Amino acid sequence: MLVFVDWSDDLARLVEVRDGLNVSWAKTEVNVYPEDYGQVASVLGFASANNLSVYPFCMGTNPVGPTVKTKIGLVFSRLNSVLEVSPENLYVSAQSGCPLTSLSAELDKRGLYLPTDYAGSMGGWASANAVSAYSTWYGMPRELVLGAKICTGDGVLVSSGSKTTKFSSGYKVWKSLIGSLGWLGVFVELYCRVYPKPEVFVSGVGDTSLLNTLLRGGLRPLCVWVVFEAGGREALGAVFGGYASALKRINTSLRLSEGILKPTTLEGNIVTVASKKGLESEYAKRALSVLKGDMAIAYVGSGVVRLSVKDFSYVEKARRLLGVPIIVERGDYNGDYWGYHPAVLKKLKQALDPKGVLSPGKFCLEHS
Amino acid sequence: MADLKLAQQLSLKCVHCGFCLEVCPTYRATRSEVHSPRGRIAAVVSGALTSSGIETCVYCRKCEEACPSGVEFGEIMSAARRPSLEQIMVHRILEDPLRLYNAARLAKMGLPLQVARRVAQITPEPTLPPEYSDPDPELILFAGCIAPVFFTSTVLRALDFLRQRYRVRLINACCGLAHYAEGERERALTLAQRLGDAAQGKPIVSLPSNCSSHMKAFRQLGVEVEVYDFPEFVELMRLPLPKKQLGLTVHEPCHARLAGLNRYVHSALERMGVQVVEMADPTLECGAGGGYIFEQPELSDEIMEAKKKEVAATGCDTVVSTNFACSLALMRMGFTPIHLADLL
Amino acid sequence: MDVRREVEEIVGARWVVEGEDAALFGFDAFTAVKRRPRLVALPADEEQTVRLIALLYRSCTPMVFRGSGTSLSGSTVALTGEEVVVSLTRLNRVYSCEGLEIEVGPGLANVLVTRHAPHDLFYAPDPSSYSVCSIGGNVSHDSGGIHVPKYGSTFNSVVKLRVALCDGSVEDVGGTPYFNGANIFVGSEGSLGAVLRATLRLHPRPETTRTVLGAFQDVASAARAVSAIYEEGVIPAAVEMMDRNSIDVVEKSRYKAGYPDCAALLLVECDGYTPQVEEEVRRVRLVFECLGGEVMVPENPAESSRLWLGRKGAFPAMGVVSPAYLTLDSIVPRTELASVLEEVGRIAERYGVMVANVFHAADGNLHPLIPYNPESPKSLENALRAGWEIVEASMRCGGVPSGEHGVGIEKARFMHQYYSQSELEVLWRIKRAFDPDRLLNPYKMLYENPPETGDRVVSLLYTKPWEAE
Repeated sequence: MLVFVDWSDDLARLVEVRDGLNVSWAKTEVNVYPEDYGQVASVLGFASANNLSVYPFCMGTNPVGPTVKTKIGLVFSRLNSVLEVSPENLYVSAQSGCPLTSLSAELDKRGLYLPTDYAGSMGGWASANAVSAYSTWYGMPRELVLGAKICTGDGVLVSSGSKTTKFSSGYKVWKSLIGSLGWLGVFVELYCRVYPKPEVFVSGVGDTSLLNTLLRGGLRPLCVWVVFEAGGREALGAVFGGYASALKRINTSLRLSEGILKPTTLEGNIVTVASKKGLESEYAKRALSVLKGDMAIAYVGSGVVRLSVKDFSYVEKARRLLGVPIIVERGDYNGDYWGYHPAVLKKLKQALDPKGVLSPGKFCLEHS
Repeated sequence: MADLKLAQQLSLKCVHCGFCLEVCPTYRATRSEVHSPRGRIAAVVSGALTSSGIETCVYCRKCEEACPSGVEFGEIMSAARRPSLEQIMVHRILEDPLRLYNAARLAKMGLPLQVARRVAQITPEPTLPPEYSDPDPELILFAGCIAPVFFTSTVLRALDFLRQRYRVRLINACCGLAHYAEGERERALTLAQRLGDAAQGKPIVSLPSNCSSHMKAFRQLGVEVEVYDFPEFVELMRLPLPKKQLGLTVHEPCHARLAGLNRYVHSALERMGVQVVEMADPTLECGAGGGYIFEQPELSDEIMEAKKKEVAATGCDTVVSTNFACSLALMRMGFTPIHLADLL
Repeated sequence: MDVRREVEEIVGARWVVEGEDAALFGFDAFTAVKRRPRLVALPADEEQTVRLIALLYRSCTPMVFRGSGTSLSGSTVALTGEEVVVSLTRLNRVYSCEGLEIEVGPGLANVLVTRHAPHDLFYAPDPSSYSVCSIGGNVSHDSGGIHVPKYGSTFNSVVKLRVALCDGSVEDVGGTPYFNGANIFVGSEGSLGAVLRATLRLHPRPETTRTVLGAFQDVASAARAVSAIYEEGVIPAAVEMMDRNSIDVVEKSRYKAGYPDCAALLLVECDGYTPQVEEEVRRVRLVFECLGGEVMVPENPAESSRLWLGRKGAFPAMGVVSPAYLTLDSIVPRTELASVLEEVGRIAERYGVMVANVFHAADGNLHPLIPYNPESPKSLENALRAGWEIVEASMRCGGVPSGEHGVGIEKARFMHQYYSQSELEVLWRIKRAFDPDRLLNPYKMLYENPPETGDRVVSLLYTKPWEAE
């Protein structure tokens, strides 16, 4: 059922409007489905002019942070094409609503891959700066996204960055949007670095005592992650990529047993801990005990640890004891989800979403 | 005296890339463009010879090695500098070891001059410079200016060592490096000629290695001499060396390095079976310069501070230094400098 | 109280430079414009720096942050002469090193980061000037270097930053998986605030590192070989190209490497797990041979490092040919390399300039070097115009004005060509949010009206392309 408010008729002249969303991770009065970048810009321009709040999303697979309640849900599901795959230049360009599964299928045909196991859309992946087991070597979207077309909160389309491997020609606006959960602006199109798919992937499971060898031994594993369980069980997973002839003995030489360590990702209430890079395991162990969590995954080398927890009662304590940013990634929490509020972000918000229409409350500015 | 035109012409090669900054001891101490080779060149180009950086150059010429464009920085400094009265006075004193001995004694008595106070602070007790000559000498032992007065025993040991095989004449004099570095180019030429005449075509074995390096470059001034640095002579002649049970570290003097002389020190020590604990950067400037240690007390102390850390990291107290100005600096840092000759 | 005295009270008399000596801080490695700043201050530490910035801002004094002064885009030039140069060279401490992170001051030279790291780790970004360029400058330009193809630019190695903002506040940003306040500062050319401290990511040293040199008799084959390497599944650590002119220059300099006589040479580095590297080297050789290249694989590390030193010294080695030169930095898709290089050749001919090409081939990042006679304004103008055409040619085939040297003053004019008016307005909104009075590094990267300096070269540089004719 459409909510009949005076602005929705005006909105419907710009873009297709449908029912809003009422789920645990978002509540919107109406949803809009832009078909091109111009429509995204006009929706945001309209919202800014009329002080209407907007929640941008696509597949809703990986919501992060507090649930927001907005007038408009900006849905990217129709901006879902892969635009260009360049095996020579090793980049791909795609619209932000493009599901990573279809992108991967497209890349696979050309012998390429984007190193992540994220399940949602390109825009979601970049906006969440989603960590994965592959982050050990390839890093996160922060490192992989070369450029983008973005739209500011007041509806200005901006090309920022490029398809080239580096860019030093003006502020890195698109990089500021990475990880910002659509709060500073939205992606409409992304240019990503891709890699030639290795001839083989070799996966192994082993003891955590191998961690230092894998991390600092110069062997260059693509993925290293360590899973800690509340009962004290811990195991390490690693993936190598390369030529079959080169990797045939790597597992045996390291005394890793064949297989893929599960899980690589978590369910339920999730807390993210920003550890120092290279010390993810130490932080995971400590965080697991302080937060009284069920399970922790240390994405080695990425500086990210994720934990599934029963509840969030120990978040503040963990922040005090560990002294690193600890974020309530998913779940109902009546405290501060972020625990950090730099003035730099406030300034960026002022510049990129001057009317503050994007996801109000996603990131709280007024905490001290 | 200053030849600004020449200095500016030589400066044209500089592309202002800055590769010289981090090797320059005064830049490292001050982190200021003013006291960097690149900054000094920029000052020369703009004709700003009163820039304080022109005076603070130690003249180690380490920047020349770092320079990808082949700028002859030493020449630029030498041509651009106008020596102060104080510098000229120091030069005149260095020219004659006896004069240096008397001046040092005056300084130790408390002569109320800034440079004298510094001399008193830095130097050990002066000794009358020794004199020696075999009849019909076949070899010159050149002791330089500082060694005969402050490191007399080293000179005597070297003399004894050479006398076992050769007829030797000892010359205590100044090679003119300090003059050349600080802009007294003509005086430096006079000193070179004087030395050339005194040598009478005989080979010179020189004790202070920076002087050796400078004398080896006399040819560019039109003076022909046959010069060997002491360890170089010892190694080239394969003179027998005693075995020593010792642990020490080696300081590599700046100009000796330019002439590639430090390797002879290492090979001699190896022949003696001495355990050398290498510094992370044995070529790190010691802060002595020629007259620098006396003329720029503040900066030279700051440079010494960095060197002190470098030496201390080896855990050694004994430091082989083949250049006596460096030895004065190392003493001030609290270490025990020895020349290769001291081990004979 | 006047600003000068207050500055002196903060940093101490010894650390204030003025008059003729201040001119020594008035330019960097982009030597076409030399200006004299009003004053130079060298604060000793973070606290002095923050107080200094707040003071200057309060008193409406424009300022330029400066490290080792090796910018190739002129982004540390005190353009108007009103600026106070805040030299951050004395902030060169190493604060901590834990896990894969090292925390350093902005004044530390790039090369010293690795030297202070544990022996099994290294800092990957290595611009040619790595022996001297400062970390603060690297962050502000998002400097690259030869190892970008595998390890990324400075951006990828920045974990956290401590920044000083114009109001005298200090903030630690970054180090967080989501909102990351450090991102906007990388490549912002000192126009949003000062970097007081950087936490950098270190990489494990590879088990094996190998170099392969390929000598080609035409540029197109060499350019083709670059893409072909990737098609073979090789992820090289570095792929550098040098053309005949740049080889000649290096061979005349003290970096003489004994390069073969050829139209274009490729220097490739493979690193990582030994068996993988061996296979990569085999395939690189194969690619080179198939494309008519002559292959050389150095026998020992000393020989490899000689080959690489030649490459690293190639820019300043231009000094043996000419006392002044421009260094361009446009970046194009790899597939466009051959055609852009051809166009560069045509432009060089048209302007009667010698262009030496030495560049990061895997990144498509061109560095045409154009020598000029600094005594002759005509020669400089001619070189500048040739350079502009090269940048425009790069932009026509999907390229960007600067890959790693920054916009500075050298490429400020292209901002109006590369961005639309509405895009520029968004960049200005960011600038204004951080620097409402436009006192931080004025006229660099962004400008509306050209600065009035009376300097001919400056007005030439700040002529918008469509106003030029």
